Amino acid sequence: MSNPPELLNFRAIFSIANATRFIQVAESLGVFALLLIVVISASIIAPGFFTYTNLTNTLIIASITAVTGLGMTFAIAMGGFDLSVGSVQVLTAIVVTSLLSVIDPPLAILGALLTGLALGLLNGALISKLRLPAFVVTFGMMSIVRGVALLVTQGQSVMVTKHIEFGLLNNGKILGLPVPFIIMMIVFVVLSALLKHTPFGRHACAIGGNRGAAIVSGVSIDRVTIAVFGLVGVTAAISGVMLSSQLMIVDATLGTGFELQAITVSVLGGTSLSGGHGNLVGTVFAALLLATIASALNILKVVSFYQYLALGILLIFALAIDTARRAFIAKSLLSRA
Amino acid sequence: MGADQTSDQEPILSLTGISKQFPGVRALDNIEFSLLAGEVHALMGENGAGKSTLINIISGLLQPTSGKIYVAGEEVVFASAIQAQKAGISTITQEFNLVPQLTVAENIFLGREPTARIGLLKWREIKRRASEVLNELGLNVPLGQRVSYLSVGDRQLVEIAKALSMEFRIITMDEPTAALNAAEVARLFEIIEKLKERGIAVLYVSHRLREIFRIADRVTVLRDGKRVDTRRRDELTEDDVVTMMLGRALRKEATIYQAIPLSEQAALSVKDITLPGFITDVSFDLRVGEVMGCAGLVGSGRYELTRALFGLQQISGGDVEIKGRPVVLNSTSDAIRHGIYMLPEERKVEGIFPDLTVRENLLISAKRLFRRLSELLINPREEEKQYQGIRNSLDIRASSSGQRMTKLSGGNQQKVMLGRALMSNSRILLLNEPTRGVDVGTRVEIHAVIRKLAQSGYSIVVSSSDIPELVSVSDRCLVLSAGRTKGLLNRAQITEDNITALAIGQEITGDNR
Repeated sequence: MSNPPELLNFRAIFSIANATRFIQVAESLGVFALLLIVVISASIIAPGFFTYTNLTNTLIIASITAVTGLGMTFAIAMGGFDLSVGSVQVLTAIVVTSLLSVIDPPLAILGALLTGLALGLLNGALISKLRLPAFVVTFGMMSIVRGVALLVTQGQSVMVTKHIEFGLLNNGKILGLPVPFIIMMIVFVVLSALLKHTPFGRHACAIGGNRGAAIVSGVSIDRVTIAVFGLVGVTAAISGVMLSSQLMIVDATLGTGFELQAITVSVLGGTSLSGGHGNLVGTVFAALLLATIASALNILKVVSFYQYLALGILLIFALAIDTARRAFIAKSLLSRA
Repeated sequence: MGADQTSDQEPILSLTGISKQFPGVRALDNIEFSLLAGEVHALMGENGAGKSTLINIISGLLQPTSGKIYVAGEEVVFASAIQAQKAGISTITQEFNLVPQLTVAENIFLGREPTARIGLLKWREIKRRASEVLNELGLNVPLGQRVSYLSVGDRQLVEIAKALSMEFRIITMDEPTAALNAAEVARLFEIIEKLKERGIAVLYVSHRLREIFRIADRVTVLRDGKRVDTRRRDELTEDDVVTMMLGRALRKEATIYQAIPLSEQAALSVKDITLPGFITDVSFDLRVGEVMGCAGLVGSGRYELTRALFGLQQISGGDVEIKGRPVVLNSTSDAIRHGIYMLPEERKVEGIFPDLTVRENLLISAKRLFRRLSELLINPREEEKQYQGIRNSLDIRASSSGQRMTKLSGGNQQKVMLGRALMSNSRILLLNEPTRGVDVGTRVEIHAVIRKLAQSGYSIVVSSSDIPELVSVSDRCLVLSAGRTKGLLNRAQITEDNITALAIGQEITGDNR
């Protein structure tokens, strides 16, 4: 930095980098502001919402959704999505619960994660090698995996009987924070690093942004696709383990509609369904928002069926915002070139 | 030098005092512009001069910050593209507004189909009126053909037919010849002549000087958002226009090529390769430090040849050797491993990643996935250094490495693409249309870079539809015709006439040899 022009340039770099970051943060702030409004209004109109127990519960529920939502954000950034996460979540919950009666918790958890990974890799392999759309493959897998879950349990519930300490994954606290939240934060940090600081994340965004260009640039589309879906499978499995430790008794009917939640939190958090980039911070805030709404509705004794309405409305709302934002960007880009 | 000195005729379109302010940028500053019935008015300027903004204002996509627009003497305000169309202004851009799944006739009447009283389509009338319009243009396109099967040139003509059938009085054409071959360009120009005879005003935007001098009646040059001047074409020379665009005289293209002795060593040898449907028995040696041009019309197999050498298409026969060793190129990974890199023809479609930053676009091919542990994480400082290096050597004008790719002008995007090829660690570069959609100044810069790279030991194939470009950069020039080698010209034989003759399938005459 000996000569002044160079120095000037570095300054420009910083300000622009900051500006880009600012826009990203602002996008997450939109959800964050919404979250704040909902939390404040819930605290006022729903007595019992702003209590330690309820907030902890809400945080746990949000964390379970967020973990899969973070994986989903990766898939959406790559221009795909995974409809099988609900089924994978329930199957892996059953796997970990069943294994706990025969082996130690760490191994049982590992078994569940490997199951999720294998199913995700299978999704990715079918999509890339058979050249099928992600919609078709994961829609089919959603039904197949659900069927497997029903078959292995014969429609019965499975309960954690040995290793009751498995429940600590849900009730435990580290530094006063619920363990599920800690797990979610770890997943968040790892995925953020993957997305922003590895060629893998960059290649995933490249595929989502312009598939044709990714092919011509020598990006290995197949490998990245398989790896991303494997990643989504693992996050669904982590959510499965968390669910199992929360309920301690699971059956094959759990987790329906979970894929919708995961996609909603991604999109609501500012990740465009058209692919090209992923906003992980936004996903976390959106998961918190979703859980807060559900909790408030519960306390207000609103029939739980309304939660489906709320979820659908939020998803459409999020998509409308995304479309408006893209139209705005397109309009501002007209000014250039 | 006023805009209206040519005639006392009332302009069909006139703009007065048009300015457009974007946050931080004054894209247009007090522009005066007029368009007369039956004239072809060329709008010229470097990228970023404000041409697109002006076109967008005329076509209603953008609204001016200040200034007035008059159509046939009446003041108008266009709040949307539809309102501009209603006022008789049609815009033909490179992104066509045709529905590929519908037929030619259906497209021409899309949205205003003649219907019978109960709402049924009058097919017979649609066909009759569509064929009238097409005949008038002298177009030979089957009415029932789906648009997706048509060539780019034919699609463009269908757009023009659509504009004619809607009785538009003003047609703006933005880079209409960018994707056309020589025959299609000639046909387009004939049609533009016909449009003129009908009293239609054509606003023509192109980077290609030669075209402007072939068809324009008047030329308006913009620079930095201001109108430099509007003049009759016959008062201008090509040099004048370039000087007006750049604000200075241009370095002559002819000075770019400097002969260096051709190496005997082959970097890449292609022996009788065949690509079913595209290429038959093509052979050549690309020597170390050589720029080999590759010419050919659309359908000659030019692009497919480079795609095959980059592992994107499978060859069915023949051999490819690198430095004498046979190689198998089944994927882009294979090609990059062997030091071959290709830049695609269509920057927008297969080149840039709009959501990624300039730096990410530059380095997308630099990292192989899951290969080396040391490449697992991105090192931002290292990348910034690499970016700065390329930025300085190619003179890329970006505000920072974190700027979004779409914010760059076409010329700078193309430089980033060139940088991407350099960062891939390949020594054999296959460059398709390296200056398509790039302004004249950048074009010369890119040609100079290509020559410099060859001198420093890169072996380069430049595949281009732009024949003057091939003449200015090539050491030798391969000409393909219908998938076969039609000729391999050495430097002394490389002339525009020779390349054109071979490309259209003629032999070159003795005098030219």
